Amino acid sequence: MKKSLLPLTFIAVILAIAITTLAGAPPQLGWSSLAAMGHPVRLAEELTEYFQENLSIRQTLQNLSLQLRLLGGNRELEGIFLANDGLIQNFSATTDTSVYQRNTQSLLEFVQTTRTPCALVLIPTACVIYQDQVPDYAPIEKTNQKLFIEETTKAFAGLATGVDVYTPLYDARDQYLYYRTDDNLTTQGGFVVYQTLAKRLGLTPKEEKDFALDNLGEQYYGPLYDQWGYGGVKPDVIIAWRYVSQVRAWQVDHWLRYENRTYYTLYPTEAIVEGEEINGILGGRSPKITITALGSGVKGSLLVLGDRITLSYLPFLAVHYQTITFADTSLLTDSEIQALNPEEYDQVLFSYGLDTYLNTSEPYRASAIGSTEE
Amino acid sequence: MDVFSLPFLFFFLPVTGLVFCLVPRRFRVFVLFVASAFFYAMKSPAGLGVMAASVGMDYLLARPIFLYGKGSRWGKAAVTAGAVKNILLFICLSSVSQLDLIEMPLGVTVYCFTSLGYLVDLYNGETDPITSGYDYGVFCCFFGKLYVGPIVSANQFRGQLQRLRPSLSLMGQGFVWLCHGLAKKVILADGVLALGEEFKNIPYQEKTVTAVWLLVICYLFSTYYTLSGFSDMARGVGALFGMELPENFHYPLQADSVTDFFSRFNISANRFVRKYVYGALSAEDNGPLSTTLNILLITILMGLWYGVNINYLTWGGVLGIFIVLETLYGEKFFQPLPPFFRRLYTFVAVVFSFAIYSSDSISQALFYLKTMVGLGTSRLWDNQVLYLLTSNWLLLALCAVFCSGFISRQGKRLQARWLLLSQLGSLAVNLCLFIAVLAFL
Repeated sequence: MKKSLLPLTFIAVILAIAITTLAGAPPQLGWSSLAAMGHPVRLAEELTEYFQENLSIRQTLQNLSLQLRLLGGNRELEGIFLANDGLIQNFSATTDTSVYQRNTQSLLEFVQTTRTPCALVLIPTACVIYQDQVPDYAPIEKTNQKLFIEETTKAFAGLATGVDVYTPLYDARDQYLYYRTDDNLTTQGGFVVYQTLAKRLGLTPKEEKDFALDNLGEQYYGPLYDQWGYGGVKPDVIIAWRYVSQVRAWQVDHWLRYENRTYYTLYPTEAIVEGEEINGILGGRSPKITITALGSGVKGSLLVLGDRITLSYLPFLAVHYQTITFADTSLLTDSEIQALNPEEYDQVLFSYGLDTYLNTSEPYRASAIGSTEE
Repeated sequence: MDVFSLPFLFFFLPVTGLVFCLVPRRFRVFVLFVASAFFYAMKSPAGLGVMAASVGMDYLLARPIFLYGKGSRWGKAAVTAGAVKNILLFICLSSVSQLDLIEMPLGVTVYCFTSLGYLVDLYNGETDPITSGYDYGVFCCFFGKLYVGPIVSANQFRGQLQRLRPSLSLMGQGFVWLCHGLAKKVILADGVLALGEEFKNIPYQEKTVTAVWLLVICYLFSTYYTLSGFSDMARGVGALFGMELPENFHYPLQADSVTDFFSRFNISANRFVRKYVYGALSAEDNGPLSTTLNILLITILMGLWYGVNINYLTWGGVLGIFIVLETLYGEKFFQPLPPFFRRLYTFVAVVFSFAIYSSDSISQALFYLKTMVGLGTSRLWDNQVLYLLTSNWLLLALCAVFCSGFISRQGKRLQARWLLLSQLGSLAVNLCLFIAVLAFL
C-alpha cells in the first residue's frame, strides 16, 4: 500500500485537474476542432491554448507563480517593478540619442520661427520619482532624468518657457502621484504639475481648497496591470478635481475623425465604462480635444501638443483659458498636425512624458504644426 | 506540444496511459509506437517523415547484416550504408540548423545514433535482430527519450519491450523522475537561462568580471539542468510504461577531475562514443601520442554531439586537453591534492570550458575568457550585477544545491532510517514540486 500511495496520488491529481478543467470549460467541438484533429500541429496548438486559458487551478497557479518569484528575490517581471504599493514601469531610454536630439532640434527651430509664445514641459517617469520603492541596485536610470530635464529646459532659455516639474513631483513623492496600474499621472500628480506649470505660464495657480474631490471609480486597472499579468496589485482610484470656487461650465468636444462627441463637464461620468474609469477625465483619449469655457469671461487660448499624460492636468489649466485645444500627436496623422495653426492661439505648450520624448519622434512630429510643406 | 507542457501532462499522458493499461499485453508496444508517432507529428509532421524514412531504412538494412554476418561483403556494405546515412543525416541537419535555415528536427541525434549502434552491434554479433517493426520503432523513437536520450542499446531495451507491464512501484519512481525532470527544466534551466541572457545583454564595455563569471555559470547550469531534466523526464515517462532507462547524468558538477566530469555528463553518449570510436581506435598501441589523439578525438566528437559548431568542437577539444594532462600526469601531480582542491580545479576548468560552449563565436569566447581573468576590465562588479544577483539569489542557490547531490543523499539517509516518513515526505515534496512546475508552465 505504501509503495502505491505516490503513483495513485499523482494519477488522482492529474485526472482531477484534467476532469475539472474539462467540466469547467467543455471544449467546443465544431468543424474547426474536428479539422484540427487531422492536423496534429494545429491540434497541439489548440490544446495548448485550451489548457492555458481554462486550466481549473489557473488563478491559483498564477498567484503561486508570482509568490515563488517574489520569494526568490525577483521584483521585476516583464520590465515592470512590483513596488510597495503598485506597479512601476522600468524606464530605459533608447541608446539611439539621435531620436531626442532630433526632437529637441526641431522644437528649437519651431520656437525660433513662430510668433506665438511657446512652452515645453517634460514629465519624469514614476520609477525615478518613486525610486525609493524600486528594488535596490535596480538600474533605473541609464539617463539621469533630473539632469536631462534641467538641460533640455535650459536649451530653450530665451526662446520658450521651459518648465521643470521634476523637483515638485519628487518633493511630493509620498502622495498618490502616479497610478498603481497605469504608467500615467493621477489627477493628484496632475495638480502638482499644474501648480508649477501655471506659475511659469504667468498664471496664478488655484489652490487645493478651490477644488472638491469626487470619486469617479475605484476599480481601475490600467494597461500596466494587463502587461504585468500576475495579479496581486490593488486597483486604482480615479478622482475628479471639480473647480468649486466659482460657478463655471465647460464644453469638451472630442474630434474622432469620423465622428464627434461633446460633453458639458470636465469629468463626464457618462463616458465611464467598467474597467475604463479613467475615461471620466475629460471623456477619455481622442486625437483632438477642445475645451471651451462657457460664459465665464475668461480669455485666452492655448494649443497643447502632447501625449496622454497631459490629460492629468488639462482640467486644471481649463480654469484659466477660454479655449484649450489638445492634440494627441500619436493619434494624429502628419497632415492633421500640420493643419493646426499656432498663430490662432495665444500660447503653444509642448507636453510630453520623458519616455515619449526620449524614445519616440512625437515631439519632432509636433514641431510641424502650421507647416505648409508636403 | 512538448513533454513539459500542459496538454502533454493532462491530455496526452493520461489518454496514452489509459489505453496502454486497458489493451492486452501483446498490443502495448503498438500503443507506444502509435503514441510516439502521434507525439512527433504534433511537433513536426515533416520531421516525422524524415524519422520514419531513416528508421525504416535502418530496419531494412538490419536484415542483410544479420543474414550475411560479419566480414561478408553484403553485411559490410549494409552496416557501412547505415553508418554513413545516419552520420550524414545528423551532420546535414545539424549544420543546416546552425545556419538558422531550419529548426533541428526533434530526436535526430537520438534515433540516428540508437540505430547506428544497433546496426554495428548486429554486425559484430553482439545482439540479435529486432524483428518487429513496432518494437524497432519504439526502441529508436519512444517519445519520452526523443529530446536527449539516453541512447540505449538493443540488449538493454529488447527484453523490456517483451514484458511491458505497468507496475505501481515503477510508476511511483517514474512520477518522481518526471517531477524532478520537469522542475529541472521548467524552473531551474529556463530561469537560469533567462538570467544568463540578462548578463549577456549587458553591453561589452560595461561587462564586469563578476558579470562574465555569472554569465558563464548560468549557461553551465542551464545546459546541465536542461539536459539532465530531459533525461529525468525520459526515465520518468519510460517508467510509467514499465520501461527502465539508464541514468544519463550523475552529478557531473561534483566530479573531482575533468575525466570524472566527462564520465558523468551525458553518460550514454559518452559510452556510445567510447564503444564505437575509442574501442575501434585504441587497439594495442597505448603510447602517449596515441592516447592523446584518441582522447582528443573522443572529446571533440562529444562536443560535436551537441551541434556541428566551431564553439562546441573547441569546447570538446579544451576538455580533451585537460583529460590528456590528467591521464598523463594526473597520478603524479593531481591525485595527491586534497579532494576539495581537486573539485575546485575541476569546477573552474569546466566553467572556463563553458565560456567557449556558451559563446556565439570564438572571438566572443576569447573576450569572456580574458574578462574572467580580469584582463578585459578592471571592474569586479557593479550595481547591475548586484541587482541581478539579489533578484535571483534563490534560483542560483537552488541550482548550486541541487547539482551537488546533497538533497538526494539526505533523502537516502532518511529512507534508510525512517521508511514510512521518507515515503510520505517524498509524496509531499514531489506533489508540491509538481504544483510549482505547473505554476511556471
